[in-house]
Amino acid sequence: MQIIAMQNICKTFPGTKAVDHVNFSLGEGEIISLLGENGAGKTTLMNILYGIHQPDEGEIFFRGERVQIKRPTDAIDLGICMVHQHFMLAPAFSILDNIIVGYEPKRGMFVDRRKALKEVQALIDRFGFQLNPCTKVSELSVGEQQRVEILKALYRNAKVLILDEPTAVLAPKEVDDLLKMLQSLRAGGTSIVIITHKLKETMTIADRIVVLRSGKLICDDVRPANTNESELARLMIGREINMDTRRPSKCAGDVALCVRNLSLTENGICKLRNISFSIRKGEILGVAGVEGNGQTQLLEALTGLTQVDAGEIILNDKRISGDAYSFIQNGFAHVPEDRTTMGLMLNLPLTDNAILGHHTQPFASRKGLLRKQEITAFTNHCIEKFQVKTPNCSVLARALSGGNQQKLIMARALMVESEVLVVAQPVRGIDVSATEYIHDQIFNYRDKGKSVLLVSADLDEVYQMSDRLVVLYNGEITLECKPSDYAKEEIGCYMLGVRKQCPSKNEEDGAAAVQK
Amino acid sequence: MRALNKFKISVLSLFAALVIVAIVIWISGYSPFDIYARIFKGAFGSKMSIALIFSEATPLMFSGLAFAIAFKARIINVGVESQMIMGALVGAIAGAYIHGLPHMAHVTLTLLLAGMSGMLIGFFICFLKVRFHAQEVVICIMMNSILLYVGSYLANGPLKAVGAGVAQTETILETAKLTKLIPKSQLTTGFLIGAAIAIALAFILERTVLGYKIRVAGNNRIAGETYGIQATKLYYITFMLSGFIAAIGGSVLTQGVIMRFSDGAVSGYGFRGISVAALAMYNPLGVIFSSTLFGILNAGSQAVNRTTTIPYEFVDVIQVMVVVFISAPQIIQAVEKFFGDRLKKALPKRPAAAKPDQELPRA
Amino acid sequence: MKKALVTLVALMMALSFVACAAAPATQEAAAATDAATTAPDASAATEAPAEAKPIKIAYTSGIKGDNGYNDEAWQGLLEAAEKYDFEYVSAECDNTDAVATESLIRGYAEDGIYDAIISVGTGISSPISAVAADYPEQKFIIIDSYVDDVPNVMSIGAIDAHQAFLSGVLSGILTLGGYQDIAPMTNDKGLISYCIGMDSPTQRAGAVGYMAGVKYVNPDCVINYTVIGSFSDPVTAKEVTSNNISLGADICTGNCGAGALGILEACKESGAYFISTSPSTTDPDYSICTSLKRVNVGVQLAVAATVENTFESGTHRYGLDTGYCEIGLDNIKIQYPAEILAALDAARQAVKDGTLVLPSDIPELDTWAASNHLDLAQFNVKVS
Repeated sequence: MQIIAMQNICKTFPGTKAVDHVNFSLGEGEIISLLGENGAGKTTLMNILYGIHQPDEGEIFFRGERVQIKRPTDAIDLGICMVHQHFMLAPAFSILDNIIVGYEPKRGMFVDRRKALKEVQALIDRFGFQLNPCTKVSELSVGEQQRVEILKALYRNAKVLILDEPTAVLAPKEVDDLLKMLQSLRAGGTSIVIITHKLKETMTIADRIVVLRSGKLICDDVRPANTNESELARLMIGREINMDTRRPSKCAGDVALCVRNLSLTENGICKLRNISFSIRKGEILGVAGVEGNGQTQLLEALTGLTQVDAGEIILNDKRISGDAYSFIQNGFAHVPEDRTTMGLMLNLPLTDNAILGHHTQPFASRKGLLRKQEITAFTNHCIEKFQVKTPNCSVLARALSGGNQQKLIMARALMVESEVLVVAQPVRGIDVSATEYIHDQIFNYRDKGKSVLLVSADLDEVYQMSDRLVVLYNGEITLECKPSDYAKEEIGCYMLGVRKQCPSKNEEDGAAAVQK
Repeated sequence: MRALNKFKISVLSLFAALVIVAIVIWISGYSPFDIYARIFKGAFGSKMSIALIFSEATPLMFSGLAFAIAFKARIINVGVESQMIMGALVGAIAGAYIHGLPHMAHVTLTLLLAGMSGMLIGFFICFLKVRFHAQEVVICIMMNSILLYVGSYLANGPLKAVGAGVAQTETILETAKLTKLIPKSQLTTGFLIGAAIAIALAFILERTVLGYKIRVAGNNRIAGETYGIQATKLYYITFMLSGFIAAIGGSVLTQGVIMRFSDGAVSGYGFRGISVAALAMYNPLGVIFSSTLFGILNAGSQAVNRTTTIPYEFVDVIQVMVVVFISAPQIIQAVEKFFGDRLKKALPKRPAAAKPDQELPRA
Repeated sequence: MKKALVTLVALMMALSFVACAAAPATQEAAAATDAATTAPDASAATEAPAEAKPIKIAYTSGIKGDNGYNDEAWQGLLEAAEKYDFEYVSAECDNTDAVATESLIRGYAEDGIYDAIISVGTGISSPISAVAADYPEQKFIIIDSYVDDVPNVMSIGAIDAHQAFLSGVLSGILTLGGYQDIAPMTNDKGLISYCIGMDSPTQRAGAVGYMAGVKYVNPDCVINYTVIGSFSDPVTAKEVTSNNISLGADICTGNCGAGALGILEACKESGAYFISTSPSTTDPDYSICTSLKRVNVGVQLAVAATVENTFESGTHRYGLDTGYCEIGLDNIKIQYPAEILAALDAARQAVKDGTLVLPSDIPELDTWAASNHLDLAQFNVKVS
């Protein structure tokens, strides 16, 4: 029995055909994985179902009846709920408030909080979440916030649950929990659509796989049992792709960057405890860990955005301190973790974005005056070299897709001479081909004999990219190892604090690395 | 492409405002064609009326520029009014009490002193904003009141001109007066100073590292700080620059038209500057044109006031409506879409052929 | 730069569109205005088109509809239009906005077709002198602002001391305490409260006129005279007045702008009489009279100077003789008996005749009061 049928859906945005005559159906109690690269139209298609966009053409049927979904409330009334990639929660309010908002049980004209609490607590218990409904959302981890979003949908009696990139920000253990929960929801009769470009989860959980490419439906009846990851990747991208991009370092040289005993306390909470590590020339050091375990603070310390309480940062025997500007001047290149809030000025043209951080370099300005021609040339060079898809260099950064934005940020970091690249979440929310390209560029940079510090919440990425990795848990390094020495699942245990490397070994390794 | 789109919104907003006000005029029992014709004739009828356009535009240009430059760093300087009053006051003092300077020197010194006084206010507001995280809008509004009363007090009390019946200071010296571009008009070199400042601002914003930093800080403060551009410092610079321009505008009023500080004479320009800046989409060069446009409307409305008994306040309504439409571009887009859709339906169905035809000229 | 040019061109196009759309209506509209400008006098103008060129007057004032000053002035123009034969155009503008005022007047001067530009308002001397210097052939007549040194400007104003003189006489009589039957809140303590806004010559001249009126009939009366220091401070005015009432003041007045509201408030609270300087603040229950400065008379005088060609530069002040200053007894509940009105007439006549010259500043008051006195006994005025 089909719960949703979308027929012949078309949606055009200025300049692009986002969805092009797509038929989509969803059965009762079915989990569909909606696969596609960024910009393939997956999110647009689901936004149409959720009432955020109106289709130019096509019809939507709910349990066989034709429906008009003009706005999200229409969708919610039908039992269609969506969990967005960027969560729509009010951080200052409690979990309870966030869940019941708009659908509060009322007594007279007042909110019946007691009843609400009982209902929400019952939901939480049913799925075995470890959440206190009175906690403020701002105190929750990303994974927990996602659970709140899902609870919100369930509270609204979701019969169809749409999840946009649900695993992008989760640790492996959390991903497992999520998948388990989705399975139990399916058992309860809920239909689920997961928008993703991650093949592994798709293979694990989906009943059926629907692939979109450039707004067109490529196939809608692939079963995980009858396919494999490379075939899915080929379907998504339209060409063969090398899934295992592992490229070990050929020539690790002397120690370039050395970090000693960094400690940082913010608002009375210890964020970094005595962090020490070193990176050699021609080496990628990965930092794995569940988000919120000190990665952000470590990145800030290594880019001059925060002043540490203790410890030192030494690059090529020179102690580095000061603000972000002096770090950049001293050979640090930075790719920040959130490209839209930290990396780009979305409403400024690419030229302005390309010289961010280099604006005082001789090629960009002389005596306080910008050198427009040189800047344009530099930007065009970046665009060309990093295959940024854009009509020209004067469009706004906003107009680029996520992958192309990230390529531009990478280009900005790598096109100017530097000694060490500090890069965080380089491929978050980016499609497979752009990911491949960006990873390639990081390898190329390393192979020039430079050092890379790679921070990512995606263990797969850290595991695949790093020559050596450290695990951060609760502000401490709990493991330092070569990826080849540990299985991924083992590293996962360190990430969640279940295990901890004996400190003495840690120090020995560090010392050994320094001596080498 | 981008500029064209913004420009389109500006022009359409103006048109929409004219249409809506026409309806209001018509409902009020007057002929909109008559009033618009009078505005046009009043504005372009003679050499003097054209001079009036630019002299009306002058103070609006300064306040518009002051607001626009601050907005580039995402600072909402609604305190332009206070800085203009300060400038007018300091201009009146420097113009009246500094003796023995040649004309050029006295004019320049007076303008600079006034500008610096505005910078001081900008600095003070910014200090409260940065240091104590106060809302600049609230402080600005407070500053407007404070300066209004300081001006009023000084003009009524210590600085009151001897023998004056009303609250005003001594007339400034001849050497401090701006040169009139057209004799007998209120149009002075102040307009040229404003235009020069607009060009300088455009240059600073587009061509200098400082302007780049202002744009970065205004567009995405966090991104700027991630790459070593300290927003705080830029807030100070921008706020002071904005105050400087606004205060020079105040002094241009004093030195060009009023010739003294007179209680209540410098009022309303700060807020109308917001409209001017918004119509120009915060582009300094655009401000030259948007203030001139408002100058046309003002000059026209004066003609309506002089020659008829029709309420000339309709012109104010036009200005306000323009701002409403600019600040809510969705309205304009919705209107455009509404008519666009009707047009599509009305036309015979030839989507494949019609589309490229329409698109081509724009590309 | 290109962008800027495009903007300019498009702006011009936009405006010319408006103009084109409006073009057919223009002539018709122009004809309509000609009729409108002469409206009140239309019959005269159309009946005798062949006669000598009619006198044209441009009139400006503050914004009308204030139910006070600017409306009174406008009334004066309408009254003059009934008396004299002339055409006029009018415009209004906030008088505190010096820039707008100047460009408005400049616009009329630039037209160059008016025999006189008559402008009403208190703060307009600087814009007028600026424009008058540029247009020496144009005659300007201003009311309530003063420009002395420019040959083509005539200033018309009140003799400050005359405005409240008769109110003073009336107060002096009532505070003798003989008329508690018609004015029950009066007493025989002989105390009056007076507040002025600022300590300026004009203000003191106004105050001394009132005081002289009081002393003229009641030399022993005490006037508690206070400078408030502001024209917009009803709170202080009320405080001062309340205090005076508690000391026994039965009549409270002053000239302190919005402070008048504070005085009235105090009178209402504590039970005393009030005299305002504007009909708009006169309260039927509490006012005994109004000290009028009739700007409509000023406008008529200005029109007369134009029509009768008696324009003369410099300041011309008018008082009780022309009716420019007067005591207002309209909108008051108290009905005054004939003897009081007779006493007021006698005082007015004395000033008109020139037999009584009012003092011009407060220090002169005592000497003046010692030598000028109106004997109330001759009118049978009651004294307690």
